[in-house]
Amino acid sequence: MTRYKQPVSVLVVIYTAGLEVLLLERADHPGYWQSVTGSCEPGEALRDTALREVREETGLDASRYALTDWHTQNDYEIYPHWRHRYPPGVTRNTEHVFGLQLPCPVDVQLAPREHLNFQWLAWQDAAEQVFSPSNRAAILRLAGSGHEHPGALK
Amino acid sequence: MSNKKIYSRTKLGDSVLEDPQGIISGDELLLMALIDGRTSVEGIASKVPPSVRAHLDGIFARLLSAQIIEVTGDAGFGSASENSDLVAAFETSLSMPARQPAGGDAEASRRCTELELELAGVRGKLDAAKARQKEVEAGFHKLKLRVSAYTEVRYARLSKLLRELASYPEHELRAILESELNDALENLQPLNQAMAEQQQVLDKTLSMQSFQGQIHAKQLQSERAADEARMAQAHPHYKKLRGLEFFKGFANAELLQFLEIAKWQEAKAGDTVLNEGDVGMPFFIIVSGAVTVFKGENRLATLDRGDFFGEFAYLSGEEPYRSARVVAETACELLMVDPLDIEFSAVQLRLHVVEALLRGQVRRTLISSKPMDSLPGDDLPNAPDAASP
Repeated sequence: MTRYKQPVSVLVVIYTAGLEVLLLERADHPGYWQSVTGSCEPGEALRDTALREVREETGLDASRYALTDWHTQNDYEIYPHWRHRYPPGVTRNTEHVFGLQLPCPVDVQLAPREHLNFQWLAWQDAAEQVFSPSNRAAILRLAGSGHEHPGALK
Repeated sequence: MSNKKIYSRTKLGDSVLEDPQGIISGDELLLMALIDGRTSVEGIASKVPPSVRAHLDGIFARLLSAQIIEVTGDAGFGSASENSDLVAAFETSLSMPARQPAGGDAEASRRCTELELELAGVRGKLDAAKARQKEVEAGFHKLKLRVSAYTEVRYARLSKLLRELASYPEHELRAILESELNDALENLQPLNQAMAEQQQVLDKTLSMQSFQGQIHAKQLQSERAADEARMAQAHPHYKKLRGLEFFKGFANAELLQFLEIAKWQEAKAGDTVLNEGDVGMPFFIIVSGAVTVFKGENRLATLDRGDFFGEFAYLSGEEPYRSARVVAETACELLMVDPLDIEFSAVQLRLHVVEALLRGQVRRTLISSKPMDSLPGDDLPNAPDAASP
């Protein structure tokens, strides 16, 4: 058994100026699509978690692009069959939302053990495709914000 | 006018004196009392106050004209002149003009006769009016008597009743009241009975309605069950699944729901369904055909219709890596089920799935007849099917 995960994570929506959104298909749950996600390591800053997860899951160096903290937190219940990976009694996770804007869609380098496929979708289709409600909300917010500084809008 | 004249009261005069009734004034009454048929006017005048004496002639004239007094004697004149005096007095009282000087005695006599006749008529009318007045008075008096008598009788009756009521002993009063109460209760009884009958009818109606409701609910239930059964029968894979051990506890609706979630998959003989070390959480249920489970080159088990595999990652809580390789031994029909889909579905369905997986695990443990810590996959050489090729 690996060590427990922290109930704090990041969600990084990778998108382009044309509001295309990068989605990844989970390897453990084929057919389930989502943005980049990952749990914070102990002592790790949220921004560093975002940089690390983007690198691990796509091979991209997020520091070369506009990585913005939307200062949005999603608090949700951890799916029961995932709870065993968290400390005993932890049932809720806090997710911090980031945005990463690329100039145009690019092919990404997947982590084979985490994802099966990637695709770039128009924001409407991407919002339809993702299974997590908080992921969907983030994509819709991206579209409604004028996407330059989504975090600035309320 | 001579002061020697003597007056007497007439019959009318007597009655007026007894009961004046405002017909004559006080002065006139005083003179009436003094007139006795013997005392002359002169004598009377000496007995009255000067204020009365000054109008004495006028007063006598009025009394004469009202027939209350009459002349009965004259101490100084003959009776012949009586009439002319009387007429003079009468004329004065009626405010007639004074005696006409031009007229002779004959004229006066004729006139006198006329007046006497007239006077007699007036007197008759007056008598009739008086009599009528007396009648009315008598009638009024009788009425008054009758009213007071009636009031007295009523009062007497009322007080008698009160006396009687007061005289009843308490137990008698109670008896009377009780008998009245009994009467009232007796009247009430049929009413109560009628009400009870109505209540019975109402109860019956209500129970009928409730019964109808139950029947209706049962009908709805059976209709719904029939609908579900029809829908299930119509599903291409329903019959294949219904007979499987895994779905024993599933209602038709749940089975249909499960078919929505699960992905139908077919494999040819020799196809690799799962590779050891691959990432993946879904588990598989074998609908038809058979698969073989390998750990490395070792054959762990052969599974067939109704069995499941690939559940280790889901149930163990470990990282989602495949712990064995699974190869189709024959052509297979498989249901692939992602645990996330199960978590998104109804609690009841999730419970059934987990129970089915648990029952399967327990069966395998019993069949292996080995300790819990040496389940297939953990101890390769000793696994039950490892020896068979």
